[in-house]
Amino acid sequence: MKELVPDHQGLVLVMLFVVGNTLVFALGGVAGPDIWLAFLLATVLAIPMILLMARVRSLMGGASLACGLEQLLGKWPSRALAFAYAGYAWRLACYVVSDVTNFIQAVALPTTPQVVTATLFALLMLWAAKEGVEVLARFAAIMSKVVFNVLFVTFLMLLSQVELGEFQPVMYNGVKPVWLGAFQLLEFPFLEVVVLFWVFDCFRSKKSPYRVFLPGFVAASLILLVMASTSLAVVGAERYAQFYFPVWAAVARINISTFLTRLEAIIGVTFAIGSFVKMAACLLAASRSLAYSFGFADYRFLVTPLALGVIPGSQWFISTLLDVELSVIKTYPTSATFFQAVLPVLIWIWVEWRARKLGRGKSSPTQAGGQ
Amino acid sequence: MFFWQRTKKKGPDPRGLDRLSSSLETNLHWLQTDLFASDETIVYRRIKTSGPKPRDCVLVYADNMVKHEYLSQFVLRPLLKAELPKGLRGEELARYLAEQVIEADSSECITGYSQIGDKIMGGVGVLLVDGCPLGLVVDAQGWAKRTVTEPPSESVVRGPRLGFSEDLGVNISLVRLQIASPNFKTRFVQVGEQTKTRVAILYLDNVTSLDLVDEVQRRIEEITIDAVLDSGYIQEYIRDAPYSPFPTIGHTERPDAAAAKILEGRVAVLVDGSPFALTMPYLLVEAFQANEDYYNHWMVASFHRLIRYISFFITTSTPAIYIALISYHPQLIPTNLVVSISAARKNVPFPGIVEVIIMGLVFEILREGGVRLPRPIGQAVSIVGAIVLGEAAVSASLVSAPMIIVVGLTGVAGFVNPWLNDIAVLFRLLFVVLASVLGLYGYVLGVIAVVLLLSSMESFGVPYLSTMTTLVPQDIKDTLLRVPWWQMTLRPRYLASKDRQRLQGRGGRGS
Amino acid sequence: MVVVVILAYAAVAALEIWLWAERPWQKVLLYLVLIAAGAVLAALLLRDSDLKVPEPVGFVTRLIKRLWEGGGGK
Repeated sequence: MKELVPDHQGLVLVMLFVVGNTLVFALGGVAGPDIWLAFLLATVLAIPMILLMARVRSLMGGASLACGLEQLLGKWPSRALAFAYAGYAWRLACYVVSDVTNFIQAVALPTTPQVVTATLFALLMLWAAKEGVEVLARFAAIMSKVVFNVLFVTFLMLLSQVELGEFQPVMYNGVKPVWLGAFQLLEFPFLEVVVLFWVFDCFRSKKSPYRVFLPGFVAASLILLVMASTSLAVVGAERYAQFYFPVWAAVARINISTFLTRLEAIIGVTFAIGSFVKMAACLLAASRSLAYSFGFADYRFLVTPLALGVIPGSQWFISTLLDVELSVIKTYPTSATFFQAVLPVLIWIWVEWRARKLGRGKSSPTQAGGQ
Repeated sequence: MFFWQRTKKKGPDPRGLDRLSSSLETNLHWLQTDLFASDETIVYRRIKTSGPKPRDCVLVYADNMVKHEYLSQFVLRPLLKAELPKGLRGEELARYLAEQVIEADSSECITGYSQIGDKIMGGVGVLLVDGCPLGLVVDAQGWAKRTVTEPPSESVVRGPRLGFSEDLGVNISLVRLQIASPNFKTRFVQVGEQTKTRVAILYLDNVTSLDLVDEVQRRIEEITIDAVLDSGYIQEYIRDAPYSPFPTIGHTERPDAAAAKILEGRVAVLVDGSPFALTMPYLLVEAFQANEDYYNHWMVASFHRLIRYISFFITTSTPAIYIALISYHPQLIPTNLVVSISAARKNVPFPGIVEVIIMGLVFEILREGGVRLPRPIGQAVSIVGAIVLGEAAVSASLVSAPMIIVVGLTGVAGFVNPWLNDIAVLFRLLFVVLASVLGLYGYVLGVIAVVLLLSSMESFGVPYLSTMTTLVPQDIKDTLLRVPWWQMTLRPRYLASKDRQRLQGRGGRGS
Repeated sequence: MVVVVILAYAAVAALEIWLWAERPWQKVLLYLVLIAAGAVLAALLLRDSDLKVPEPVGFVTRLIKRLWEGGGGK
């Protein structure tokens, strides 16, 4: 049973995954007024990694993830790899859940225990992951219309408050903050896309991975760039870095003819929806790769235990809002770098070498083309 | 052999086969004592032909199922006058009667004893003649039928006023009148151990994928049920996602709507005795489409469609959002409004959730009470309920005035989408409960759950949300909007796999 | 509370395994191990909400830090 996602839905899934739980946080705050430079730099730096990921998937042709990996990497290395990524994806799911529960507790429900929201989200993502990637992609496709339209409208409404002076002078503090901001952005959220490698079961054609990953990622990073810079221009660079949720704070300032006020709740809603897509995708990736690493063809039986593990896991990794900030800066980066950059490059080199050896490289036009 | 020996001898044939005897008296005896024993509606009209050697004939039919005048004029009168030539026996005799004596439509000869039962119950007359082991079927069906009228459940301001009736043949002809093409095909299946109901599968040969037709036929053939009294029985057996409240099979009482669905590449199923045609696959968009959309100006139709989407949102979400705002996020309501709402709620003893559930329940009771009553009484119930009860409840401070507005708006908006109204009630309740626990985010969780449910559903292999998940222009043309007809050059991608081109020439290839 | 949580996990596991069409022992074992891990984690967190998170690639972190600082110290 192959799970085939149409390219346009896969693309939207990638977009929602990247925009997902990052929307309200102070992304790239260290870069200060040069935030847009940091975003551009991070996007440019991430694109080779995305291409590399797409390349590996593309080398698998139309084969499913399990078959393709086993062919390209060999049985045991691929299983070990899957096991490692299962852990990473599961941990990311925990992070996303705790982001949402912390956010909801902070802005709306100060007295409701986080476990309640975490459990509800876990149950829903359990359902989504059991339904599989096709359903998740359809869900993303329909929800993306809401999310991106809301973002666009909020952006338009924010425009009247934008102070372009906030961006000047360009690179007043030198290049270092830009690099720092860019690296932060790479870790969270840009290169978390590696999880999606394990989400898609198979693609329509050899070109599909490129069509899905690259435009999806670039579009999402541009949306984030626009939203982050706009809110920075509204609230100011210093406050942007200080606030937990600068986008939220910026949208709270919207006040059109004293009626269209307090629109931040809508941003909160889109944040919850995006995060849900991301956590469900992470759970799906974790279950799929774990099932593969133990040699099971079907991953669905692993969804429930992993989802139930996410509930305490989200409290374990991050229990307060302060931890959310700290984890982005301190504890998360190294392991993230390992999974997001080092391992993919190693896999790619290995795969490329194997593909040459198997004589599949670029010269296999049989499955290229597609629609 | 053993089988034959062990079974009790049944029927007039001496060897126990399912055959008629050549002796008229034997046949009659068996009919009267075995097949139609103690059935007083069966009429045995006995006559003799004229001439020197008259023959005994018996015309058997069920009372009130046939046209009596027709039978007497075109069967009995010619028989009474006929002089049968000598020596005619068996099949020759039957052929002679059919070809040279009887003036009525005579469709076939039957040889089986048990066949007679099916035929007579189907409303035809069977002529048995002495010396002939065959029964001559005389088509004279004529029972009480409803005439073709405008369907009360789907009335239109503009559009054809024909509606399906209970007769399968008439219904098929109504659809055929709309699609006068040899590509329009019909397959028949019989369902129901007792009722033996005829079910017709209607499709367009050059558009619909035959896999779909085969699948529909397979599912209908797999049904084991003793009675089929309405197409609702079939619907429940063959639908996808049986545990989801959303409809995955459409139904309509209008031949024009059924024809439109068939022309898009869907399959329609008509059931004998039911004025409701089933159409499949059924997608969510169809719940927001009305046949009148296609008869009115496209701008007006598009506007109405938008109203339907908005109404669905209102009817499912208003109470939940109201609850979430007043109990968890009062800071999100503009200040003036929040002041007046809290002033109105000052003396109300219940929390918002209780108010919503009580008022929602009252509204549903009023609706259910009014639905099946005769129209004048139904209106009285609604008026008493809505005005008197509502007014009194507010002045007694049992509920707040804003709540009446919310519930009233919710209820009225529900009627805009009659297809989804019953489902909307369920989801309204779910959202209200979630919103009262987790505020706006509870509501969002509910929405996520519903959209997940919708995303996971399929109808006959077609994703339920098809054409809503894409941004392909061709798909949007008939989803959110209704663009002019000359713009809809292609049939829906998910349905018409064989021939997508709807229009030639003007507009060209879309998408 | 700890008991309730562990019972809840056990109940979910029992219900789901009961619903499976077939139960190969490998699947059941893996499932139970994971559920047990989740339950234990939940129980530990209930007793001590500041449970330390082990860093699986901690040695890499330290290695990189040392290399980085060594380079910067020159």
